[in-house]
Amino acid sequence: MNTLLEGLKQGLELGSIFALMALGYSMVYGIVKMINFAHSEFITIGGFLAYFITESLLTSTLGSSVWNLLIALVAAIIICVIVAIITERFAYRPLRKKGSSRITALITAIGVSYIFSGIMNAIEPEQLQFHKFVDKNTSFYIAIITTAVLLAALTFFVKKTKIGIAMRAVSENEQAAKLMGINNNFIISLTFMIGSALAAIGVVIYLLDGECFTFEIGSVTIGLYPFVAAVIGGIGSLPGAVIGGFLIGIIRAITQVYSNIGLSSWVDTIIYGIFVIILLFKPSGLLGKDVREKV
Amino acid sequence: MLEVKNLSVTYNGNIKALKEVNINVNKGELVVLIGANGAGKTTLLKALTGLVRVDSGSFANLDLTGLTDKRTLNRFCGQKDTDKLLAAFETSEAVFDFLQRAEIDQCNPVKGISFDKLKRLQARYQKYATANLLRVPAHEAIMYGVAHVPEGRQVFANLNVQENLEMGAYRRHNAIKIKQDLKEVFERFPRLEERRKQKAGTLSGGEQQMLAMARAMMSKPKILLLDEPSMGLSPIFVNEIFDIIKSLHESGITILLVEQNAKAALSIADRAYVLETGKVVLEGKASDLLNDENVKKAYLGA
Repeated sequence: MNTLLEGLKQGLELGSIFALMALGYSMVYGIVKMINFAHSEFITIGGFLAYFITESLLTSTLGSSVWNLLIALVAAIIICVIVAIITERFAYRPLRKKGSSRITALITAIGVSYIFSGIMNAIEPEQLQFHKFVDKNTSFYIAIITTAVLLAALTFFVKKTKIGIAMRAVSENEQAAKLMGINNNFIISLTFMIGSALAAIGVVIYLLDGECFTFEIGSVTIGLYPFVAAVIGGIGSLPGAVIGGFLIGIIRAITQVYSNIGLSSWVDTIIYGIFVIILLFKPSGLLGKDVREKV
Repeated sequence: MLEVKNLSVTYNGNIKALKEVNINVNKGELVVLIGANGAGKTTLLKALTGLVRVDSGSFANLDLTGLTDKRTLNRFCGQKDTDKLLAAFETSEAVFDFLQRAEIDQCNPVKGISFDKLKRLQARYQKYATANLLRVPAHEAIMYGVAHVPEGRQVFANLNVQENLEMGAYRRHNAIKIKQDLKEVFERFPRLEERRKQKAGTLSGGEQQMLAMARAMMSKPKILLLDEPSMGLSPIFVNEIFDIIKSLHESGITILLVEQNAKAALSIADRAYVLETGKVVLEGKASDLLNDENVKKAYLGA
């Protein structure tokens, strides 16, 4: 029973982190109908930056205080946002302008992802350990609260603010949105910025209890889970991304705590099995809308 | 107000959708463009708002200099500076006269506005008052007072009625004025008010057309481009839509209307152009075209 509770707790923490990252996939897909595979590298970049900044600040007067962590977090967010803007501006926007097919955009995204991954590998191929700022218990609460607050803020933004409504307008009909005077390039850029900021926040929360990681943290360790979470929840739906995140986080943590009965090597089989079954019954995901393409 | 000259559009390098089209729309006029499917009517409107690329040598000169009302002044200068300018010049006509002058004298006639600011306002006025619309990107057209109600309505189906209308006012910033205009729209279209929290996708075709037009009106346009507003509507709604267009016209808005329903369109329009395979083949007063033998045969089914 204790093992199950422990698994559940870990799952909720992992789930909130996946949820933050899934929001990025989901929002970007919602607006440009493209899977931004480079999102996983935004996660890695955020992690690396936060690591290098905290390490260099540890020797300063800040030491291992919470200020150290906050500065690292803010810096990671800013750099991730800049990387996202550059990626969108120079890799994706030219394709959009030329009206290229979705498969081209997808392959470009995968290419960008490998480019970033290679750069990160060149910078630091060894395993790193993040400074242990808080214990497991605290990081659990931080994860849950941050996700709840950010989801609420994001929902408010998208539902109630002018820019948020414009975001939904662009996602639905780019041409009509333009005629309203909405600069859709700005809106798309903004979506990428929000997504990458959430990725940076997610990875810092993931690391802050002293986690070990490598340059593959975004592409392998966390890997496809947030993306799968976004799809299971219904891609394009914000609460869907969060529910998907929790679902996957919990399944993963529970199968892992039962490693003594040999479940842990089955983690991916179970997660992807459930993934396939959900999509069989609900192809658009748990909270996804049935999209009928207009002819 | 709008002078289209030599407008040509080529699709995919060889399909000529428009061939050197010349069209004039004068201030306050309701001009209708009729023609069969594929004649290039929609392409023309899309070209005007930057949604399709035009061939070089095409022009669409927009001239708002004839407008001297306070609202236009407001749009160019902003509420605060407009008040100051009006205090200095008394009438809005005098303000426009001043803004149009090429050079400002060394002595500053306006209290509360610096010399530099005055020059900026003048530059801004001159930029927006006359422009080649074809060089304006699609999302900026609305800043030049051009609102385009696209073919097939294109309301935002997943946004509710009120959100759709708010998007019409996306580039306006005076929340109080926007609220007033929203109220006005709801007075004009009570049916939209009943459904203000309903998703636009759940409205009937006629209601969606009303919403699309109301949404365009929320930007306070000087010229309205309407693309087949009666398409796919039941006869009752067609009449209603034409009544609305007529009343918009009577309220002073300049309208360029594209229609297949030639009879109804000609009967409310001032002037008309007939477009055939990308070319203007006939133009004249709407009442004359209504009695033209060729038009009768080809478009009025008589």
